[in-house]
Amino acid sequence: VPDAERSIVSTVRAAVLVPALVVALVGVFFALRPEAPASPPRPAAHAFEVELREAGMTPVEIAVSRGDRVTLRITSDRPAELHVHGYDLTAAVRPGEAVELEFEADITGRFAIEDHLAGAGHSHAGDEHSHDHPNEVGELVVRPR
Amino acid sequence: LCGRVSHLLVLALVLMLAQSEAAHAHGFGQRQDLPLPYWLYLFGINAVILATFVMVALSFDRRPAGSKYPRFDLLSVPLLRAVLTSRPLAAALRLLSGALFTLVVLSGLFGTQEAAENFAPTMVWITWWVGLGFFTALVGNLWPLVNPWGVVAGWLGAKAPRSRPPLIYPERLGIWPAVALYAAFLWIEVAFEGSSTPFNIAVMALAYSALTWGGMFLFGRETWLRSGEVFSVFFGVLARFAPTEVRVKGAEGVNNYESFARAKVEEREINIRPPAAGLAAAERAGADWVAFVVLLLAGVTYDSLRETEAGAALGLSAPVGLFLVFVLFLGAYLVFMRLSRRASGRRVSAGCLAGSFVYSLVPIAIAYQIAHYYSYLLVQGQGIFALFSDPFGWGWNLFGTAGYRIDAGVVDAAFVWYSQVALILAGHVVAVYLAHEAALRLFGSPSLAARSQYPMMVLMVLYTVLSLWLLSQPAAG
Repeated sequence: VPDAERSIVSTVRAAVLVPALVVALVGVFFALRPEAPASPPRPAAHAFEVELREAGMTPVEIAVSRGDRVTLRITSDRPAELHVHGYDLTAAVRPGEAVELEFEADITGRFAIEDHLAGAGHSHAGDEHSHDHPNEVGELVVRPR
Repeated sequence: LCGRVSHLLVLALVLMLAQSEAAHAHGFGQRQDLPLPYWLYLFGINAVILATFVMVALSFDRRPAGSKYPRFDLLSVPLLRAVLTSRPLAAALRLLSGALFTLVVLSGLFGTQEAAENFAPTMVWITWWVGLGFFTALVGNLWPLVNPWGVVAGWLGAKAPRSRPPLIYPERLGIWPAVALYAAFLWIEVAFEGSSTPFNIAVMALAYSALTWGGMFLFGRETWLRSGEVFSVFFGVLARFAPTEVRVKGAEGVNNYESFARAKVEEREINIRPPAAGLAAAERAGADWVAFVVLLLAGVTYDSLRETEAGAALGLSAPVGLFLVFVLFLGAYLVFMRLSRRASGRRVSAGCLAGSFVYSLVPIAIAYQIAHYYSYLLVQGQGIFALFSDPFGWGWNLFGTAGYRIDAGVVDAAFVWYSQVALILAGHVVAVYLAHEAALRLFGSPSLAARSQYPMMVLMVLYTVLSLWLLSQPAAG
């Protein structure tokens, strides 16, 4: 009966090919995965000098790895209220005074840093999904370890 | 009535333009995903191509499964039957939906205009648009039951029955009104700067209500739900992917919500079925449905393209960019359908192929949408808990949850990476399977079907690689 024969052939083919695919995918996965992790193996303490100037925040991106102890020493040329999203931390900064914000970077991801007192002067095309914040001055990036 | 509707729309537009100065998406929340690492992006591409080859090899001697698929009727279980056919539950869901809709409008009109502290933006853009979309694709379609416009019109219709609507809907219009409205909605979603301003959301909801009820009045409630109510059409497409369906015993076809609602309780079925079965069983799509599905794909793609550095560098204004992506996708699809026609020996027209295969693209769009938005839904969606207690931003605390703070730690960035690649791969595999199923049904002969699929598979690999590429791109600052 050709139909029955055909169905046996296709069952055998599937029984060979599907596991072979799984093995191949696992192989490719481990072949491509970098041996050395992108982040140093142990959490470390990092201090950043953060300056708020006319043009914005320097450095504009604060990049750390999960578990790192982060200290932001913030100075500003104007009164500012810096807010780190996700971590929901706020620091009120007055000109000429350094304010420290200390936290453990235990949430991975990319988080906007905003100055709540800045005008919406350099507003991007804001909308509901990208949520470009008009007051965004920088970003905190916490990589997985 | 048409005049009144257009007046309302003009008024709405004027109000929005007046408001957009004040529009500011302060702290409304942001996607926190990190771009896929390059090696994982490469792995994704390799996996997609390998999986496609294996599916080609497995497809040689497949027979068409036809429109029959296994079903399990949940109503055959007494307990489930009691719950799923319970009138109080249906009434409660409708009441909830109507209350939420009213609250969106009221909070938008009278509440604070800080997007993050007002109920309307989070409810509409996250809970409803993203959240209900996911629920529809992954569980089942509640929209025909709770659609506030449909519910109110049905209720009014029952109070004051009319013999027939004043106008007869021209059948050749198909779902083109819904396509046009979907394009307008996408424009608002991705391009309109004031789209997260509560006041605008309320005005848009009211304008859309006027339009929808106007359409229902002119052409009849069911006709408009089928062809003009864009969210019914949208959730209907997602529902074809869902693992559940409503059905009248013995009936053919999918998404027969109207006949289900009219049928006697004994004749109703609520079935568990294989996921995406509703896409495989789909009839041949007309040009209007092809446009709708391609628009769905273009919308989700453009939405994330413009968030990337590469997309921002193109410097296209949003309406132009959205339009270009749509034209590009439609063009690519039609070109590949011509190739498919050639590969299968010119037996059927390219248009017929386009209509037969278009639903198989839906899983790619759904997989991408979920991969792109699920962490956003899980994190930013938490905002709704606090907003329920203080919908107007007036310092209320109705349910004691007003102080709830969003916990951004519920999703881990590395887990998001792996799940994104897995989702995209799964969507691709389902799409390739569905397209092959459609080809078998169309051609009957397995070898012709297989040949018609080579161009289609190249196209799907391209779409899928584009999805992976978008996920691997750094976000624009």
